[in-house]
Amino acid sequence: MTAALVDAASTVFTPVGVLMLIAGAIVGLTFGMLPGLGASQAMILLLPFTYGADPQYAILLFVAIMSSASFGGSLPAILINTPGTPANVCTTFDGYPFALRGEAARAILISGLACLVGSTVGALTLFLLIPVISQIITAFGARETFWLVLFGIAMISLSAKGNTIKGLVAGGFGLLIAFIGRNYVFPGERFTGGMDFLYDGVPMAALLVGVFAVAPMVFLGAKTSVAQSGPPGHSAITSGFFTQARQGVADVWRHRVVTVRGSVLGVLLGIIPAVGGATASFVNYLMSKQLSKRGEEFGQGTPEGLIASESANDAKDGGALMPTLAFGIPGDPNTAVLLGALLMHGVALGQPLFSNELPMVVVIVLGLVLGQILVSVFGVMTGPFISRITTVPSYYLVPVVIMCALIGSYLFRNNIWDTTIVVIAAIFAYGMTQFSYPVISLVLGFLLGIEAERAFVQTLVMSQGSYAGLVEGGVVWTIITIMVVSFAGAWLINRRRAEMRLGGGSYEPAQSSEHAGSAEHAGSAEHVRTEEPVAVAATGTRDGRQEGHGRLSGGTAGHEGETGGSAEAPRVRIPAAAIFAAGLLVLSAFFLLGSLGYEGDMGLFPGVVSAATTALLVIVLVSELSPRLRSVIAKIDGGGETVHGNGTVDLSARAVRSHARVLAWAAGFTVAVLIAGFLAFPVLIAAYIWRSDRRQVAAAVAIATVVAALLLLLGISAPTMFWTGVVPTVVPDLFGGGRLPALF
Amino acid sequence: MTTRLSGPATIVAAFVVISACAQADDSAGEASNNGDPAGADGTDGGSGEAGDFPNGTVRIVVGSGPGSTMDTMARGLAPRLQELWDESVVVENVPGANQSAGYHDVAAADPDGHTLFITVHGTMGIHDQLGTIDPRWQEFEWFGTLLEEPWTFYTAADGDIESLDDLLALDVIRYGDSGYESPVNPVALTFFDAFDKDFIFTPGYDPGDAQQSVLTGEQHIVGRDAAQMLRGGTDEEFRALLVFSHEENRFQPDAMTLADVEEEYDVTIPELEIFQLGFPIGTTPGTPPEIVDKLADSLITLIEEDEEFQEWIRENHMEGSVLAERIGREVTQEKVAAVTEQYAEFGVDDLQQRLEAGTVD
Repeated sequence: MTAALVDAASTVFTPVGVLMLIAGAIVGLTFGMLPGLGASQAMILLLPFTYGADPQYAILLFVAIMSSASFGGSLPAILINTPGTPANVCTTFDGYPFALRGEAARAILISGLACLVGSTVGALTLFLLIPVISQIITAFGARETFWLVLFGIAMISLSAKGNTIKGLVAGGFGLLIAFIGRNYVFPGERFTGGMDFLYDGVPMAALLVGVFAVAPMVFLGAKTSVAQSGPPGHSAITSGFFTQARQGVADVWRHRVVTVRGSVLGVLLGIIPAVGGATASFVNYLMSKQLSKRGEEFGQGTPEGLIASESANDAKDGGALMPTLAFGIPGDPNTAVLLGALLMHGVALGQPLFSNELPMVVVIVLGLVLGQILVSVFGVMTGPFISRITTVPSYYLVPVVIMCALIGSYLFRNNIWDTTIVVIAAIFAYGMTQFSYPVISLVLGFLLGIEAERAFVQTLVMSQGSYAGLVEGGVVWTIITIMVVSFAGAWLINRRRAEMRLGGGSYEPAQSSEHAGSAEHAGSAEHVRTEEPVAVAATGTRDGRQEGHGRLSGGTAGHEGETGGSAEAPRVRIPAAAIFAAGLLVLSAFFLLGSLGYEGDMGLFPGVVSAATTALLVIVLVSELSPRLRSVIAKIDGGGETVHGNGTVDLSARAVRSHARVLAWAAGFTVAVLIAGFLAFPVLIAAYIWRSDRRQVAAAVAIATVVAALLLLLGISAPTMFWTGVVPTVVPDLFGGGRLPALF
Repeated sequence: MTTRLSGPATIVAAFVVISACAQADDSAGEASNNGDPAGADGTDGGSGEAGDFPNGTVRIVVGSGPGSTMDTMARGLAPRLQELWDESVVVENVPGANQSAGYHDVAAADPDGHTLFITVHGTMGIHDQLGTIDPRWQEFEWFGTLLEEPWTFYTAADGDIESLDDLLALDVIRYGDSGYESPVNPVALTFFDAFDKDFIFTPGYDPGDAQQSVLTGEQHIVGRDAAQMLRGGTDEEFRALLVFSHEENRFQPDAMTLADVEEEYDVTIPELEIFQLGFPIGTTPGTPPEIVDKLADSLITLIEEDEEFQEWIRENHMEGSVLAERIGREVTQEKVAAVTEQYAEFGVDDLQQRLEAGTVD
C-alpha cells in the first residue's frame, strides 16, 4: 500500500499531474455552477481529448472534475437560490438565506470546507476499505436495497413535518411521477400516454432543473435582483470578506460532528447503486434536522443545514466509486461516465485493479481530495467577485439560467422533448410552492419511487411470493433497527422540544416563520417573515386567521395581511389554494384510474399510492374550503417545521402576474428552441432583457452576442451536444443537422 | 396580463413563422427528415456519389450510455475512421427505450450514410418481432457485425456452484436480467427446457446489478460474453460455466461447450445465431448501396490494414471477435434474416408468460 501511495504521488505531483488537477478543478467548478450541467457532461465532453493521454493523468482529470462539480454547484445555490447540480438542492435551503443576510462569503467557506471534509472522508474510506470492499458490496442485494430505499422514503414524513398532509401529497406525487414509463420488472410501460420520450420515465435532470432552477427564477423574475430580497441596503457580503471567512471556518469546526456524520452517511449511501448525491444530501439534511438541537432553524440559514447538505453529497463520491472500481458497477451517473473513461483507457477493474494497479486506485483517491482542495481555494479566492452576482439585475440572470436549465436537460440524454418537462415541472413546482406543498417531498418520492418498487418486486419474485422474504438477513434487520431507532429518536426529540416550547410559553404554530431562532439569525427571521407569508397562511394560525388562505390578493409585495387576512372576504369566492388542490385531485384520480387498468402487480404500487394521495387530497380540499378543519389539522400537526424548497412565496395579484410572465417566457424559450435550436437563445435572451427594461438595448445586444459566441463554440467543439432545430434546413449542414425525435 | 405575455408570444410566433418557411424549403428540396425513407431507391440520398463520401461530419449513434460494449466499439472506431476519411466522426449516445430511441433517431436521419448506428442483433430482433420499431430492422442498411461472441453463463467464482453439475443439482435455478425482452432470455429458456429445470427469473436489473446479484448470492447465474467480462476486468470474480457454442471459447477454455453438454449429459442444444451476442453496424434505410459498400470497405480497411486499430482490438480483448469476413451488406443481411427467422420460430410474443411459468409456485 505504501509503495502504491509513493507511486501515485510521483504521478500526481508532477507538472502534468498538477496541471490536470487544476484543469479538472476549473472545469468541474464551471460546469457545476451552470444549472443543469454537471460533472458527467463535462467528462463526456472532454473524453475524446484524453484518448492519447496517459491513463493515470486522464483519470486524475476526470476525478478532479467529479470532485469539484458539487462545490461549484453550491455557489449558485447560495447566491441565487438555484442549485448548480441536483446534489446541491438542499444547499439552497440554508445557503441562500446566508446570501440574503449579506453573509455569502461565510456560506461559501462553510460549503467549501464541508465539501473538503466530505471528499476526504469519502476518499479515506475508499482507501481504507480496499481490502474488504468486495464483502461490503456483496452484502447489499435487492431486499437490503428495498429497506434502505424505504428508509429514504420514510424521510418524506420528516421532510413534511409541520405540514404533514400536504407533504405526504407531494411525496405521493413524487412517487407517481417516478412510476411513469417503464419499470423493467414489468413487461409494459405505464402512464406515458404513448409518448416515446417518456418510455424510460420522466428524465431526472429535466424534473430537477425545472423544480429547482427554473421555478426559483419565476420568483426572482418578479424582483429587480436577488439583493432586493434582503434587508434594505444589503449586499451578498455586508461585512469584511476575511471576517466572514473566519466565521465560516469556525462554523465548520463548531459543527464538526455534523460534518463527519454527514460524510460517513454520504459514503454509505453512495455505495448503494442508484443513490446519487441528491438523495444522499436529502437524507442527511433531513436526518441532521431531526437530530439537531436547533432543527427549527434549518431552512433559515443555519451552518448545520449547509454542512449537512454539502458534506454528504461530496462524500458519496468515495462510496459510489467502490462498486465502480470493484465490480464495474457504477453507483451514480458520474461514476457511470468515469467507468466508461476507465474502460476506454484500458484500466482493468475488479481484482486486477486492486492487485496489479493499486497506484491507479490511489491516484483516484488523491484526485478526489486534491481536486476538492483546489476547487475550495478557487471558490474562496473568487468569492468576493462571484458574490456580486446577487446585485445583478434579475432580467440578466433569469433568461441565462433558463437557457442553462434547458440545455442541461437536453444534454442529460440528448432528447429535446425533455425541455418540455422542465417547463411543466417548473409550473407544477411553482404551484406547489405557492400553496405550501413541500417540493422536497416531491423530489424525494421521485428519486426513490422506482427503486423501491423494483427492489420490492424482485425480492418477492425471489422469495416466490412470500412476504417473509422481505425481512430475511442480518443486514436487513440492522437497517430496520437503525430506521426504528432514528424515527423513535426523532419523535422523542421533537416531543421534548415541543414540551420545552409550550413550557416556555413561546409556542408558535407550524410553519410560522416567526419562530425566530437565535439572535444570530434575527435578520433572517425578519426577512423570512415578509417573504414567506403563505407559510403562515397555509396551515393557519392558532387564532384562526386562515379565512383568506391562498386567495389572490390585489396587493403588492407578499405581506401577511394581503395573503392571509380579509375577514370580510366573501365566502362565495373559491380560494386559489382550493382550485389548485382540486387540480391535483383530478391528476391523482387520473393515476388511480390508470392503475386500475394495469394487469397484475403493474398497478399495485401506483394504485396504492394514488389511492392514498387521492384520499389525502380530499382532506386537503375540504380543509382549504373549511377554516375550522384547517385549524384542527394545524393543531394536530403543530410543533414541527417544514423545510421550504424553493423559498419565496408571494400570492399578491401583482406578483402572480409577474410570475405568469416569467413562466410564459420559459414556455416561449422551450417552444422557440424546439423549433430553432440553441441558436434561438441569444435572440430570446436579448428580447427578454429588452422587454424587461427597454433602456438596456446595448446590454441586451452585448449579452446576446457573448451567448451566441459561446453557443457557436459548443456547436463546433461538440456538435452532438448541440440541438440545431430546423436551422440546418436554412443553413445546410450546420453542426451536423437537426433531429427531432418522435413524440409518439 | 395580456400585455405582459405578449413578449414571449411574439417571439414564439416569430420562430414558428421561421420554422414554417424552413419546412417549406425543406419539403420543396431535400429528402424528408421525418423517418420516411423517401430516398429508398437510392436516387435521392443526399450526397449521392460514393466517391465524394463522406463529405461532412459522420455521427455514430449508440443506443446506450457511455461505457457499454457498443459505446466502447464506437469510440474505438471514431478516431480511426476520422483519420481514414479526413472528416469529423463523432459518437453520440442516444439511450432510451431499450435502444429503440437511437434506432429511430438514425432511421429518421438523411439517407446519406453520414449517420451510423451500432446496436445488438438480439435486441433489435426481439423489438422487430414485438413490432416496437419502425421501420422493421430488415429495412435498415446493415453493413457489418462488428463484434460477436457466444452468450456464456457465469456464476460467482467464490460461490458454491463450481460446475454445471452443481448448477443442475439445484432444485430451482435463479437467474436475473434487465427485462422480459432481453436477448439472453431465449438462450436461458432453451437451456432450462433442454434440462427440464425449474427456474425463477427475476427481471429489472441494470447490467451491472445483474452481475452483482450473482456476487450477492441472490441469483445463481448471469448471462454475459467472455470478452465483455475481460474488458470490464471482472472475470476473476466470476466463473464461466457454459458457453453457448460447440467450440471452445479462447477466453474461457474451462467452460463447458454445447458439444461437452451433448457428450456428458446426452442433451442436444443446437447452435443458433440467437445464441451469439453480436453487435451490428448500419445506416439509415434508403442510403445508396454504393455508399453502404464504401462504409463496409472502410471497416474492412481498418480491420485488415490499420495497425493502431488492430492494437486497440487486442487491448480490448476483441481479437478473434472482430473479423473482416463479418463485414459487408450481404453477409450482414443474411445474419439479420437468420436471427429474424430463429426468433420467429422460437416465438417471443409470449416470453413473459414462459419466463413466469418457470417460477415455482
